[in-house]
Amino acid sequence: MAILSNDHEAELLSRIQQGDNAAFATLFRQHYRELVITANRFVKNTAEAEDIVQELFYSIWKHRGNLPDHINSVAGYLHRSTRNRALNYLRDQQRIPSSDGDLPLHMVAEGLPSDGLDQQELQQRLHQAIDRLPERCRLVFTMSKIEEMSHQEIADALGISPKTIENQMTKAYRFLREWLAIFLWMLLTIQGTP
Amino acid sequence: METPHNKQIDELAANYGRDIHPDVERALSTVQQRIKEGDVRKSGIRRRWLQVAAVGILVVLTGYWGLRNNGAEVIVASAEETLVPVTLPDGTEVILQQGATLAYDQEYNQTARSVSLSGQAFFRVHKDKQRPFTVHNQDAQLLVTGTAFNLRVSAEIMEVEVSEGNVVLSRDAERVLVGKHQRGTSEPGAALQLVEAPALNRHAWRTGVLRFAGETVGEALDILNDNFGIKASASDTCSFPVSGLFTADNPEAILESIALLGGGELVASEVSPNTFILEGFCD
Repeated sequence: MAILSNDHEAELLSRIQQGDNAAFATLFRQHYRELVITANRFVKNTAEAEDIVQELFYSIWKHRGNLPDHINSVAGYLHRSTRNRALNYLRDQQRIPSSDGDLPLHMVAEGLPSDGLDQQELQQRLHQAIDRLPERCRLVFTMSKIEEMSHQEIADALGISPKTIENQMTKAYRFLREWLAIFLWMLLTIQGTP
Repeated sequence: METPHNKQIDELAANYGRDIHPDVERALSTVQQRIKEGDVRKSGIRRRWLQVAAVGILVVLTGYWGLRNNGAEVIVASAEETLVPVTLPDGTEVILQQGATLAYDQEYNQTARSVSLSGQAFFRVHKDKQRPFTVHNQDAQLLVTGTAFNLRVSAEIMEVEVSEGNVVLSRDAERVLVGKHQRGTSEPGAALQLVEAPALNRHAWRTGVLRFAGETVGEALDILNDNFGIKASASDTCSFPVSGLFTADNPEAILESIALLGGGELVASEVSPNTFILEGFCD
């Protein structure tokens, strides 16, 4: 689907305010997958992520008369709304850990690297390693590096201090660096490189 | 913080979480339906917050309900919805038949993907060689790496009919590879069975298409009973070959056609719902 300009999307919102179903469907189709990806990074459950995003769009329609008259970036607005809703959901479900949690004791390699290891497989393996981080650590890493939130925003969202965020990031990088080192060592061993 | 290794990690992490592909059109239909109904039903998220309740209460609810039960995520297809689509956390798509129960735990999609099923469902499993997909009952296990199949499971029986790819049906030391257009069955007291299933009749509850090519009346009735959860039997001991393409999604209509084929008639039980007898075709 071609990316719509912000002016075009602002016009879509304006038409949605007037009750235009077709404009609503266009906006939905344009943004749904990206927003589900965002929500899923927080809740780690695609069905829940889809519910969150569908609830957002339902709410946009239901309260279309109250949509802001001017939005700098429609995509940004939807993205922030999704993020907030996902965090609210985690809070309501009491799924924001209050403690650091322990890093996995063992580096479990789920299968050996293939001979023709490419960037895509390396990336996939790293993503699996991120999934293995303790949940609070994973959330902090994801919010900082993937969602590009500031440390203050993360601190406010998770109810922790900026110092804790720094500690969590240090922990995450240390684990992921060690994982990467072990994985690349396994690859070199398989290839027979001394 | 910005060491070369950290930079490499940042680059590799950039696409984290992007490997999901929701069905956008289906989602849009769901939202539009909800808008049309004016939010008579509760939202999907609030449904998921419900705790485990008595089965009697579950039965009257529409749609599917995610419940938390001893740490497992349980999805139950209500008695009112005949086809309930579900997407698992890894993108695997499942269509649950009325009354089926699917369960998976919070570790799903971490290192493996394990579900348990009671009832009947169609699966389109997301391909992931790193995380094998397994379905189990008390005796047998199905191992899948990415394929589409119909599965019928009770405590003792596991029957799989494959429409794409391959699955491995196993029970203790026995193993059978079930390929495309084949059906594998695990039943107590018998070795694992493998038969050809070119018509994919086990999928009929979902597709609404049944192809018979000379099956006996008994075989045809078994297929209908398993597909639609009805109890149909023949009062006569003789049989005749049943052939034809039946596209009705109404099992009673198909039974009437079969009865007519044999010159007999269909009698519905006045006492038990969904119970039928074919009679008079041996005369």
